[in-house]
Amino acid sequence: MHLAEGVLSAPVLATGAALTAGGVIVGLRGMRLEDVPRVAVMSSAFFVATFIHVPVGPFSVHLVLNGLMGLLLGWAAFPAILIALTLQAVVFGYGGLTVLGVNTFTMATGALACYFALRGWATSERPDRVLSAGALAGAGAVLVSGILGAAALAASGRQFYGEAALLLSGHAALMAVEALVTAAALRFLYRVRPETLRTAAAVSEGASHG
Amino acid sequence: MEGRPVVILDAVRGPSPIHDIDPRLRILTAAAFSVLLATASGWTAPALGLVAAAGCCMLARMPLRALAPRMVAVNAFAALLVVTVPFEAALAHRLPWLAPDATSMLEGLLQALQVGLRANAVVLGLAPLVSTIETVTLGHALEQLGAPTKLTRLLIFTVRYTEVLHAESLRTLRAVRARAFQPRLDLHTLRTLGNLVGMLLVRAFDRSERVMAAMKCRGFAGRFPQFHERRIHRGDWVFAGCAIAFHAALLAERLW
Amino acid sequence: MVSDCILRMEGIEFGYDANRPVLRGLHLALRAGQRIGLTGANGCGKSTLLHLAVGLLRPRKGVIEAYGAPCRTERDFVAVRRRVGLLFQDPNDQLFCPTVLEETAFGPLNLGMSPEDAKRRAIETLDALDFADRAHRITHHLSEGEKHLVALAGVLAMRPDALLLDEPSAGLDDGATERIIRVLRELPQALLVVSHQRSFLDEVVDETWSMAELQGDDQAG
Repeated sequence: MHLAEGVLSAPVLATGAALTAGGVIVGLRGMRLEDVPRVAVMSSAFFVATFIHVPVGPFSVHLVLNGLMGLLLGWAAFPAILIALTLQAVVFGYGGLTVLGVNTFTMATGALACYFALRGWATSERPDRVLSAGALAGAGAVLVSGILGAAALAASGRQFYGEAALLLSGHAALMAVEALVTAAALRFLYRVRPETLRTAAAVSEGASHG
Repeated sequence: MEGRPVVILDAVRGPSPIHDIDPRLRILTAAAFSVLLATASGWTAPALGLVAAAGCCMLARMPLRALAPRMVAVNAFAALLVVTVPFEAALAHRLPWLAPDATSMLEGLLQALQVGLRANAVVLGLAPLVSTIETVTLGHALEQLGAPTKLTRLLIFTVRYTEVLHAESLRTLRAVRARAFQPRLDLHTLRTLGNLVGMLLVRAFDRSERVMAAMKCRGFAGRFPQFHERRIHRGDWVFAGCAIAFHAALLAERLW
Repeated sequence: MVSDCILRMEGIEFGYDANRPVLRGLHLALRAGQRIGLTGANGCGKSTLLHLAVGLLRPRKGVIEAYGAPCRTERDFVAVRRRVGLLFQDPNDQLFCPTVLEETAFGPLNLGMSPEDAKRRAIETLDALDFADRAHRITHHLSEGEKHLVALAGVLAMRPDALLLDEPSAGLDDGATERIIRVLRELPQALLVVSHQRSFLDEVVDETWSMAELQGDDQAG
């Protein structure tokens, strides 16, 4: 979920930017220059997935898939999400430059939480674990991002509590959608190309060790 | 089926006076404009910003179809604020079961409208300044402005593959529709979309391996070529002067 | 036209570019059991024609009728796609499920069949193509020839009245081409086959038209 420009307070914007800068630096440090095409192709795939819409009653939600991104990219999810959101802000005008830090941080933290909590199951030999890891990552990443986004709004002023609550409740449907789609996608990778689940995560191995 | 290629990451095309300005200068101006306006208070600065942004849009000959979706998105968010903030403002001073008082609701409404004005100014300002830069040029400009090479290369490669993968996903979606698939909110739909995403990722992964192999075949050893061709011309100085004067005025208004 | 006409296209005009129509004044009818081949140079609109027929593209001018009723909206064409199967030129555009069995059951599920029935239908279809032994193979790992067969199975499993085939022999070696020809010759469905290989068309269809012939005299070249 994108927070719009002009809403958040200056301290919140600055904190978000600083935290994102930190995450991006860790992510880039673990990436070798020759990993760039691989991470880029993944971030394109996720960017393209956001064009896929699912009808939810009279509305439609688009896929976010930051949980899957976390499982496949680890720390590299930070720069990859920053790039995807920058493109959305620059080309489509969704989100903006000052909220880029906060928006990247909320989404990438959701992704990273899944990486640390679930990468064991996601790379497991047992299909039921892989499927569970997918469902938990899909729902969990959206939940973490939603909570952080709502917190950023609430921290910007008492008057935004109402919008923060609305925002968070709007995430319920998205969580269900993301859980099922992520589980199916992970199952696909597990059956078709299990090494994707391991090799891609290796991109951020360097980051974890150095 | 070779349809016309769908370019999704296309910049708003020129020519226009704004398009002639150095991309680095446009990026820096957009950043300064966003920061000053996003943190502004009161009515004057956002109103001035909105006027300046609208002026830039006209100079850049921004088409309405490029502006409309982003204005709709930002105003949907603002509309939600206009609905929720007055009640929050009213509740802030009183116990929840008492009827909200009109004064604080009005205060909240004005606050929400102010946020909306700021948001519109920022979004409208960003459009002519950066949505007119080709994405690959954007990558190069950011690199020259000191962004890490790995990050800007990531941007450039992401742009390149997004077009390819988007075309691929459109073809697959079309093939799925040809087999009578209709998206609904059910397990079959979500599993189908999950498979589509998985397929997209596997193909993307294979492609990145081939790209890396081809790069190595051409002797890639961890460095990308860089070309700096653009020279600063008179229009850049004029624009820079205007931008500095405008932002100085905004700052002065704030510190007054 | 009588009701055995599955598809009828009248005066179709289509172009991605307003000044450069790909198709102009095109007429075509496909009746039950009829087997028609279409040839023409690259880029003359053969694939476009097939995509128009099932509503994946919409014409600028002209009428498309299915079973005697005109089709204009997405809803009309959704109904057409349940009875007219389209095989894409590149099977990689079509195949997206992990296994051959799931891929083949996808269409039947879209028709509203229960998972068990869809699975049974998929196995029957694969069996008819001598592919049932490979039902649990990973689609992505198949050879190009096998992918063509699975893509065909995915369409045949919907038991369509007519099949629209876009270059079904493109990129296949001789053995795989032989197999496709054998399969197509035994199908009872009406066929509309697009190919630039006359020899292939002669093997599987009863009559062959060129794209220029379908567009009468107003197609210069």
